Amino acid sequence: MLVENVLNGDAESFTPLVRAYTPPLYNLAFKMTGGGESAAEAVQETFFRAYRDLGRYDGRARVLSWLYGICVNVCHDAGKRSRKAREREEPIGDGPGESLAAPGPDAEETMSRRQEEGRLRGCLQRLPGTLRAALLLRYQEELPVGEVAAQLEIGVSAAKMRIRRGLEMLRGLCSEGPRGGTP
Amino acid sequence: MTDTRKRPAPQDDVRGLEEGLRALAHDVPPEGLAERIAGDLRALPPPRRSPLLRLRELLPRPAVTWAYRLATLLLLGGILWGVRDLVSVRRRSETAPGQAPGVSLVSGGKGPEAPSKVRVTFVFKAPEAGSVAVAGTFNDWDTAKDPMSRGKDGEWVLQMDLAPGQYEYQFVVDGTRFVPDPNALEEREDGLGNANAVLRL
Repeated sequence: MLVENVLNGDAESFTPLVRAYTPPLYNLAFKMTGGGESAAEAVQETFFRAYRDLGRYDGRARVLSWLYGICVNVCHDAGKRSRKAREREEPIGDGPGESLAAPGPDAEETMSRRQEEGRLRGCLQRLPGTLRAALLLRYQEELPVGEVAAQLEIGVSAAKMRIRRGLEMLRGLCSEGPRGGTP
Repeated sequence: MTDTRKRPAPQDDVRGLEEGLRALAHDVPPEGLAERIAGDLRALPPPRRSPLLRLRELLPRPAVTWAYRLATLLLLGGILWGVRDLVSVRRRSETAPGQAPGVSLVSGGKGPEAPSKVRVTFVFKAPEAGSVAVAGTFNDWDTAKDPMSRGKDGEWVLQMDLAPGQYEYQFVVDGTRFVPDPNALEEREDGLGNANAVLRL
């Protein structure tokens, strides 16, 4: 096991983990933070913390699930730090919908899908971080509810509650219609 | 009176959102990010195994497993003992007048043994609300499963038969707004800045 190797002194064994798990962590961090540069920083900080605390990893959760938990905490911390700074800046509009992967075959269909997706991303950004994390772990990263609970360090019932409330709040935000760009 | 003609059911909306969230395109990291991180990590001191985990590894596996089982049994025993006390306290308090908060209890059992179900009446005053439901640990926080009925003076009422145990709940006004029970005897932080009412049966 790679983690075992690292703890036994083979630090290079951590590199394949970084290569394998950077994409899913970046995806989570991007949607948690809503931006490219801060997402990359969050992934870097996640691996730093994981490497530092690797000795405390007890193998009960999958390595990726454990990393998700760290990543969510990193994003929460970053959000708290930057909230004040962000408030001083201008609103970014509906930026989170911009950098999308893989364009579809049909331009029009792709366009409307992008708009729809951009709107959902915008609404997602307006959710409280705790609810956003629960929804992303459950539906984007497809973790079972038990693992969502474990990585958010809450009970299964509380995780279900956050997922339910997240969906309800998201429904409310999406039905309000697009709003991000208005001054 | 209301505009519910062509609107999709709330659970359909939610299902659509679940699908939308699953279908969100994955955001791809910038080229070379993983290599950059791996390079930076090489400069750090190597991680060390925590002393607690090292101790656990020194012990034979079965010993650890049995230690966990024993601890779990002791914990469960303690909890059961505590619940027994609470149920008897609650039964005694039911007879006391003036105790009824937003929830009133009618024990479903006969004699001294614990009832298999306890009838609970949820009451919530919200004259301005269009709908009110109860969501909690007994229905997986489903906001549509247990709607309350409007009574007189804007009071919403729902009776449920629940197995003895401990539950958390909130009222859901107009399908989306979670409101803590203002009459709850016991509350617990929900981690979102609100309080869940705690119901012990």
